[in-house]
Amino acid sequence: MKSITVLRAASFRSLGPRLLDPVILAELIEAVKARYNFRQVPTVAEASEKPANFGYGEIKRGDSQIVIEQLLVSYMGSVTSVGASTRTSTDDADFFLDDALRWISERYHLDITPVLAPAYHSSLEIVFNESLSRRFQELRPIGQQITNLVKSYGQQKCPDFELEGLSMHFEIDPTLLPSPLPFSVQRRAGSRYVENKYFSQAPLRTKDHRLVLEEFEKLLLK
Amino acid sequence: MKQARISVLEQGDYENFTFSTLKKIAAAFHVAVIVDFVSFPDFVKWNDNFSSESVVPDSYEDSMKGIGLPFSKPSFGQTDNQNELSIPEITRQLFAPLVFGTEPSSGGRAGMLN
Repeated sequence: MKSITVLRAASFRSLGPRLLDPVILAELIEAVKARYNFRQVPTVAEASEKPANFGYGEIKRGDSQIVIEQLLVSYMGSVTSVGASTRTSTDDADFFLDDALRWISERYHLDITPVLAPAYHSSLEIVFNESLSRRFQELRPIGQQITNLVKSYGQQKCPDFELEGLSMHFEIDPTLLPSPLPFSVQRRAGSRYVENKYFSQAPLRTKDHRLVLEEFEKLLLK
Repeated sequence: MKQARISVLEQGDYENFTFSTLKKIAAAFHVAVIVDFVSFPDFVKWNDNFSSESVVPDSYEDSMKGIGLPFSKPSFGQTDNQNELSIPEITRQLFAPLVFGTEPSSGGRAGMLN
């Protein structure tokens, strides 16, 4: 693996229904904005009708200043989802959520006991040493067959189709909440194939996602 | 862009800028460009604050340093979030059974409070 870059690291907590209803929204929005220096904050009307969306805040963690890219509070049926994303790690997102929820619960006497397990979503950009499709030569005839058929429609310059990515998931179980998103590795949109640049998403902590990708590379791209 | 053309653009009294040219200049200096319609009082206020410093914004890199954003500069004309799901979309997928119900006939977003 030549390099790995965190594109987004998000952590989600599931709390009781309509968590913020007892709180004076205008006061809460101003307090959250002031404490974390959020550059974008919702209006009271927006926060009453739609998910409350805060953008670009900050929190100090040791010697580092963590940037909170987004904080989103959504009412999802019987659950209040509180999600935070950073461009550094899910540990940083967790650090912020722990601080924010503890502070809000103390200030407004809210019950922040989780009603479901936490969830994570990690997006990384990776540059592999070689292309994924080289490992799957068995699929080459299929790619060529698709290309030949497209050519027969008149697109003579059509290159050979090749494996663009892999994805892993499971049959959706409606009782499983929160429902983990798929794991996938696919070509980075907009990149040239020769760069071997890939995008990967996983329902994992950032550090675990990295471990899985290291194993993925060992198995498939050695 | 050729030097002769750049020289024309640099003249203080040149007015025939197209939006396309302004975007190219903004990209070259790593800044954003805004063309805005404003009221006359706002225009007067803007004019009062006009100075050589106020018309030289920080570059993308410098302004991002200011708020500590660690991400890299997107290429001109490209967004930085290709392939990526947004946080609202991830939230919807995490709680899809709550939002959409367990059966197709449960009616799309009917269960969603927001």
